[in-house]
Amino acid sequence: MNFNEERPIFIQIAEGIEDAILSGAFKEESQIPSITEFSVNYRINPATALKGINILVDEGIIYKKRGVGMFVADGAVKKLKGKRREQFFDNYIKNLIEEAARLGISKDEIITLLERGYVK
Amino acid sequence: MSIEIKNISKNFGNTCALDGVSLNFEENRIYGLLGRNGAGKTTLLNIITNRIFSDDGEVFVDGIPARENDEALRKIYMMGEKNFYPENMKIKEIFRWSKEFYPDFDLEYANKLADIFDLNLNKNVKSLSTGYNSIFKVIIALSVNTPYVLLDEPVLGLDANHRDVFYKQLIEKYSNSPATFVISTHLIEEVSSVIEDVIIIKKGRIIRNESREELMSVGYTVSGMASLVDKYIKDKEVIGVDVIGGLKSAYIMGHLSKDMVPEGLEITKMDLQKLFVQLTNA
Amino acid sequence: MNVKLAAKYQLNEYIKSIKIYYLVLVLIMLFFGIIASVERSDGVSYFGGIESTTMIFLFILGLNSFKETFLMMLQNGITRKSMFIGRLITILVTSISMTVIDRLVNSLGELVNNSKRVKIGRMYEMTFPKRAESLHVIVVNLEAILIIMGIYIAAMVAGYFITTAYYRMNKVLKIIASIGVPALFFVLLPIFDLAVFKGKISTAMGRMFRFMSGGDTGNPYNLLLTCLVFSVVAVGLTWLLIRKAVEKN
Repeated sequence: MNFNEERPIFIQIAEGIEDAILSGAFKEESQIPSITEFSVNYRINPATALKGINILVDEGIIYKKRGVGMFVADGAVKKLKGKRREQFFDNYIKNLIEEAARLGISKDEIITLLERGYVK
Repeated sequence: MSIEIKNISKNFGNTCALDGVSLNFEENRIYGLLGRNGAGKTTLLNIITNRIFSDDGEVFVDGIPARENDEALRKIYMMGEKNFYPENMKIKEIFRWSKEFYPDFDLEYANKLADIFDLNLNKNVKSLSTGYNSIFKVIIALSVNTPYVLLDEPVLGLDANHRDVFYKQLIEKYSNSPATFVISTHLIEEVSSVIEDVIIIKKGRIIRNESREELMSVGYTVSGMASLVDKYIKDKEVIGVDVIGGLKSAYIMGHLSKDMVPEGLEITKMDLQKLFVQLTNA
Repeated sequence: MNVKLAAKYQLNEYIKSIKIYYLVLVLIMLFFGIIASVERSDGVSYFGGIESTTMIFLFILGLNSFKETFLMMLQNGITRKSMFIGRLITILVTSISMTVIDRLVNSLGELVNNSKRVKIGRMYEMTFPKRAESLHVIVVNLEAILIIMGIYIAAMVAGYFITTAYYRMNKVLKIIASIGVPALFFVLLPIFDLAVFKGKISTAMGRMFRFMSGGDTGNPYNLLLTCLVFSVVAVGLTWLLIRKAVEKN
């Protein structure tokens, strides 16, 4: 993870863990690193790391076992994919259309470009 | 449990170093005490630790007035930029005495850190480079186990690797046995993610004192054509502007309301460094 | 607790120098002892002044008792009050121990030295010869220890006071004090005295000095009292200086 300061670090932490879950690096029902490990590794304040992880706990993606540690919840991948799908339009399509408008790229041209992107 | 600073003022001759400074350092938090050179950071830390005396105001440590009070002073360790240890004393002797003065000093941990930093314990203070002069004091600060640890420019003279090791060790230490750390520095970028609370001091006055997240959420940059920017910033708290040709960037304090941004203007968040530079400019 | 720590640290600083001092002293004594016993002349050699050497040593030790320690104490959260009391304790302990040690070294020297050609002088016996002869040997020893101790304490306190005063002074004051004080006593005062009072001041001062040192009456307690009064005053002034002392850039 490389932090940029555009967005709060705790959100970036949460997203970093989400990415790791989606990529399969953190498997469902497997233990993830502790708050200390996260904060030491990324040189961030433990309170910040906790805040980021708590977002995921609230969303039911991660759960805590007292005295043991934190685990990826069953069904987390599905949940995350659903969430990311919802965000897909806002995060990617909207920006794509805005930038295209600035450059004078038409809707048809965008579709052509998209198709080109799928050709290997 | 906190260090309470109440209305501290200090003059050096005709120059006012601190002007009615009041703030609290709460239990088990990491503070960034940020300010430009000569802003009064060291003066403030020196007053807390009785190295110098204030002209006015008081400092309380866990409710005890700190002025010339052994009990209060024993709760604080200050790593100063300046060396206060005898020049001819060997580092291992200094560690030994630190253990005497601060019974909770963890000698084993200090030795481990010395190993990590590659510090030769048989050297005396005089023969250390600027970097290692900071390092041996940083090691004591991390091993001393007092409830309050004040670090004045802790990474002075440290190379990139050692700085990284320091931040790593600091967080590890803080995670395992929390204490209040106050990091005074003008190198904001590096401490930005480590600190939880930000205190910005400018010309002897506290101009910002809030959590890092809070501070970061109230600053943003708007840039675009000069005329558009000027129109947008009319009713806003502008802390600085940059102009390049017809392009203007304005640094604004305040919460951003997304829907009110006119077409053609670019909004970006300010990072702590930028925010700091704008806030402390002249 | 903190006074104890401060005293422990400050005593430690002294012990190193004291060890070296005695090592050098013993070597010198041996050296001259050997020379004296090998020498073929019939005259008597005097070896005197171990106490005055110690006195000078303690004065210098006192002169080195402030700045470095002060900063180290500040670094370790010791208040000025604790470090000051700690210092007074170390001065007392050092003075008393060195008085006794010097007495023993002298006695040992006499024991070893059977040549009769080397006489070992002792400050007390040399200053108050009549009294030393008339009193019982135990009383002499006790009284000598008491008097020498007073002198040692005064020497250390004097050094401590001067170094503290210099720390508090700025550059200009330091120069004024360094040149002004000696100039006042050794140049201005004698000139003034000769020109205006025809030497009466120096005569009076001489008399006062003899009285204070017990030289005129042969009473060692005058000397002890002088040392103690001086020490108390200097300690008081030093405290006033330390109370407000701060770290300087």
